[in-house]
Amino acid sequence: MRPSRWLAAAIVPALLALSACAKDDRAARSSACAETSAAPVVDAALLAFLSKARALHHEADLAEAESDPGRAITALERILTTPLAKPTPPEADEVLADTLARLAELRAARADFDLAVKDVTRGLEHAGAPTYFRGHLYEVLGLVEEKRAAALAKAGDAPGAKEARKRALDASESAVKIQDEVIKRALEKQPAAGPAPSGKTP
Amino acid sequence: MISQGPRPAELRGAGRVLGLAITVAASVSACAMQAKDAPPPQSPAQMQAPGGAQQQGYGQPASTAPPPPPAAPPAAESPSGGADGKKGMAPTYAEPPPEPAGPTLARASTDFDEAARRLELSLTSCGEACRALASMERAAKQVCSLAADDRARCTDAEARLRKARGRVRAACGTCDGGPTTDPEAPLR
Repeated sequence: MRPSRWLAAAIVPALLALSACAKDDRAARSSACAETSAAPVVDAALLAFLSKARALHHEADLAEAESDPGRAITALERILTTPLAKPTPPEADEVLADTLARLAELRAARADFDLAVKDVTRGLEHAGAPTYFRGHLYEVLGLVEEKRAAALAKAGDAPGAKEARKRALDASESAVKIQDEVIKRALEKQPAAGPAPSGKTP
Repeated sequence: MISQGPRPAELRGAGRVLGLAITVAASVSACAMQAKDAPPPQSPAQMQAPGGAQQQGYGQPASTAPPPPPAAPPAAESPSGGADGKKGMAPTYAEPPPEPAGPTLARASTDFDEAARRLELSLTSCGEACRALASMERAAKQVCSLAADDRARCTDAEARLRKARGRVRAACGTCDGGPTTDPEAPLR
């Protein structure tokens, strides 16, 4: 899923929560929203960040569609330089981790393998727990190292290529294990599971 | 061209559906809170399909529906006879509990909130599982293409993938527009 799409899903509930609190303030100032009125500054900053990130991912989509990876990278780098409150809210961590994974892919496609690995390493700092984002970063690391191996092999560096292939294999294997764990945990959270009536998932 | 591998469009529907579900749930919840003069709404468990069959919420397992409010007196107090089998005697009815409009609305609202919470959880869990399954499939494919000298690693990755597919299928059915949940499907 494109980040610009799941970012929309992240923004909507946050907007609704703020909107509900605003209505409540007008009406009675008596609900639980009143208790959270101390936090709107943080929420507004987070919303602004999510909105900006969504717009920049969209800009990167357009740049990629026009075969302009340089412009896509520039757009995504602007997300990383946006100031954020400390500690970083979990929603922002997810956006940063996913943005860095996408940046790593773009850099690997341009044979900037060291920069791509740096992006993955930075991304992992935002995805410490075994989440989809952590697994995805390892998945991307596997792709980066595989591309590096191919480039080294092409350049006649067989030992270097072999090492890169080993790193690619290790990273991909880690991704499999992490996503396996993510799936187990996600389905444990489900209420008294049974197949969805329609047999469909979102 | 860059996004062809790990960033497919296969799960685009997940975010949309989740966002829509949360939007609808929050909107209706907000309306319910404001409609103080309106008649009490039906709880999700009471909603009927046009054909009369009970309609089930999307992604909502039957066993997890919130309990419906008590609609009829217990059998022991029914007009047709008590539990002691003394038919023909004057029926006695239990006093219905006082149930002013406020608490009914509050209970309906609580039922709705609970149903919405479960629906959201179900959608979120399946969306997360499907997204992770897609990534897992890509990574397993990568493992198998790289592990030419170590087939055991490929076999292990495939086995994990098959089990994960089975779990997702059991809990969610399919991943709409996403990775297959058929455990026997080949690694694409």
